[in-house]
Amino acid sequence: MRVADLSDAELRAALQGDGLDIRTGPFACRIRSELPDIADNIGLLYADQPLGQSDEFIDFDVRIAPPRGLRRWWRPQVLFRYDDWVPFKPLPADQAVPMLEWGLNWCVSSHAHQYLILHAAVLEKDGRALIFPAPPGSGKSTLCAALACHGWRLLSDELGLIDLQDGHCHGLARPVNLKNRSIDVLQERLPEAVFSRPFRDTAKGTVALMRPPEESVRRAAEPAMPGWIVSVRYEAGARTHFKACGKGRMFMQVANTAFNYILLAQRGFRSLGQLVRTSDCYELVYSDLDDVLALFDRLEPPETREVAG
Amino acid sequence: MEQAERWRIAPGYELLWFEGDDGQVVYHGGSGDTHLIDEAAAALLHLLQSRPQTPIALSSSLVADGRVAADEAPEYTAMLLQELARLGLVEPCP
Amino acid sequence: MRQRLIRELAVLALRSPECLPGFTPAEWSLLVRQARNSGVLARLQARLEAQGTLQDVPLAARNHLEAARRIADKQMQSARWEIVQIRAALEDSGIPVVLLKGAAYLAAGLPPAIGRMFADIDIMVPETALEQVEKRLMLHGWMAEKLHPYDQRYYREWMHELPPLRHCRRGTVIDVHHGILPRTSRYALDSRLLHEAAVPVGDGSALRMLAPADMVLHSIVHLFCDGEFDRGLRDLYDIDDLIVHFSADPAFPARLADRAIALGIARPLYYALVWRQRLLGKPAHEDLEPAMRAGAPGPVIGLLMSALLERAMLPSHPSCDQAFTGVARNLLYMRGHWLRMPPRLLLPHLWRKAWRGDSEN
Repeated sequence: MRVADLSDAELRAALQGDGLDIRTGPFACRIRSELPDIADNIGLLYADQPLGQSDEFIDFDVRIAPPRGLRRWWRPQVLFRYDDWVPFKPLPADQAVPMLEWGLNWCVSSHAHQYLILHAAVLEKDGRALIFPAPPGSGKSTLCAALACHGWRLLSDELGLIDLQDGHCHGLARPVNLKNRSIDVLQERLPEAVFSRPFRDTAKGTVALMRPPEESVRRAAEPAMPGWIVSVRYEAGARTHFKACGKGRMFMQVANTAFNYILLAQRGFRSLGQLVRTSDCYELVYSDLDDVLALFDRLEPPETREVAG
Repeated sequence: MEQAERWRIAPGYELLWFEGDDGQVVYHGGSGDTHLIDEAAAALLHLLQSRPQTPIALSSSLVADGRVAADEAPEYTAMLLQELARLGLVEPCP
Repeated sequence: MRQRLIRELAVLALRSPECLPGFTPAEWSLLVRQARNSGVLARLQARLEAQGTLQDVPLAARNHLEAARRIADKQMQSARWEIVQIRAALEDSGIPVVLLKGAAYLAAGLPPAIGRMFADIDIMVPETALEQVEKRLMLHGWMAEKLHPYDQRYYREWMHELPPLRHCRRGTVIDVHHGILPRTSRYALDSRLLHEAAVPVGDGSALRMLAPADMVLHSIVHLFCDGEFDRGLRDLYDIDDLIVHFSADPAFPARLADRAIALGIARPLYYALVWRQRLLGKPAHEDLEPAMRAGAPGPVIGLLMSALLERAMLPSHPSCDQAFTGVARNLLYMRGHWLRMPPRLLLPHLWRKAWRGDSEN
């Protein structure tokens, strides 16, 4: 059963009651909220997400709720709660929906240390993973959303999960976070994609969320082998520049942006080494999205390499 | 730098290596730090991993491998050792 | 009975791990979160791994246990490195440096080190050496954190401590103490006795650690006199681990009792032993009876503390809360302050804190 199979009343009752249990990739999440905005947007963006099985282990039990006290009514705010823990400062109530996304990302990046967790967009084609490790503002989300609707399966727009045991990339297939200019660009380019309304004045500017393609949600449990790691940067007016990148430098770049590389110590080092060794590494600067999509259409998979210890 | 004083890998911690085409990445098991170092510094570290060595011996090896000219070798070796010491990877033998 | 069981899932898991195979997924969900909140999740992983039963834990829950262990292992790596750096900074100063708590467990290879969440490193030096120690540490990159001038005075003038020192590059923190209780504490403990009894850590360095009885008492005092019980379960397990480890020497329980009475801290020892029995199921050795008699509170206080501790010692998690748990924690927090500072300092201090709306110190 999926979220879309619930009636509107059932969805709201679950969120306001014992919680809505959904599966996002490898994780079982329980979400509670009394806010209508949350119910509306979960119905919209998480429609294809499978519902949790009854009596399942819950990885993340979260709640989006107004704080106690004055800010419940006056210039209302909302809090993200993980059990009794409040990891972030409150945000204006209007930003409840992106806050849920950031909160769920925090849950994964703070706790899922069975994976090396990259700060990266990850997509898949023919069983190989295309990884974009890049700091915010680099244009990776725009590229990720475009590729996800152009023959590539979305694994995640934010969190690259690399299994420490076997080196495979695992996906979450959650909504894609878009910012500012890229919202308009993508809404124009992808008329059939489903978007939330824009949320203004957030810490990241104006953000909107794009529903993940149905196939990416349906196949979320399928991992991918390493394929390509591409360090990407959007630069207005630039010609497409796509060049092989030194693996030592790529290692350091990915290590510096990974959420738990330092924490995983030797295991993180070995896992990242294996990932970089078995991927083709490139640098990309672009401004023309069509040009880049065509480039990725032509991309050759790396030869399957023997993993050296 | 005393040319006859021996240097060693800071003891008690393992070093892990990743070989890139543009340098080598080394992980220090004590500090938990990761460094990208050039081939010459990596060669030096590998030499020290086999046993403690004097700067003279190290610079001879670098010259023999063609990594540096003979007349520049002592200064180059001293610089590499100092840099690696700063990163906590090597130290003079007590 | 069912209500109690949910509240004490974490307690049960550590005390009787043989009952874990019967846990439902929902119970595992709660157990993981309770254990995480009280800092014992990694310890649970370590215990199950040592027993060889870790692979029987359902995979989804096991991932959380393993993740916690990874965090603890990383902290252990960092702590080890910090101890190396502290040696480098202080070893040839001639000042006797005593490692406290986690740093001591780690350096000496004691049981509570495994699965432990290390944070700051705590060391103890003679009071007369505080200034020199601060200077040396500053030379090696540690600096007093930028504190509000009020907080600086709190530490230096009122509590006779150094504020925490943070390393400028690594970001790690050292707390430099000269005793195990603040000088202003209601328990007047002469820290010179602790220094005199300190023993070498045994790793070939000049670093020292508290004598076994003092180490146990320090852990007890830290738990029962500080006011913060969030990690109560973890601290109680540390205390238990130490008592079990040192009791390999049959003379240890008597020595512990004598020392507690001699240092005037039989009361916290009493609470520790009572709660070790109630939560961990371990009765106190008969040689400890004299100290328990000496330390037992009067009936009114005893009843009150029992009710407060019953609430505060459980993990800080909604599934562990009973009626008045919040009140209990607040009362114990205030008690901690009251024990630390005499009224003439305490009242203005609390007033200042309320005014500034923070919860440090």
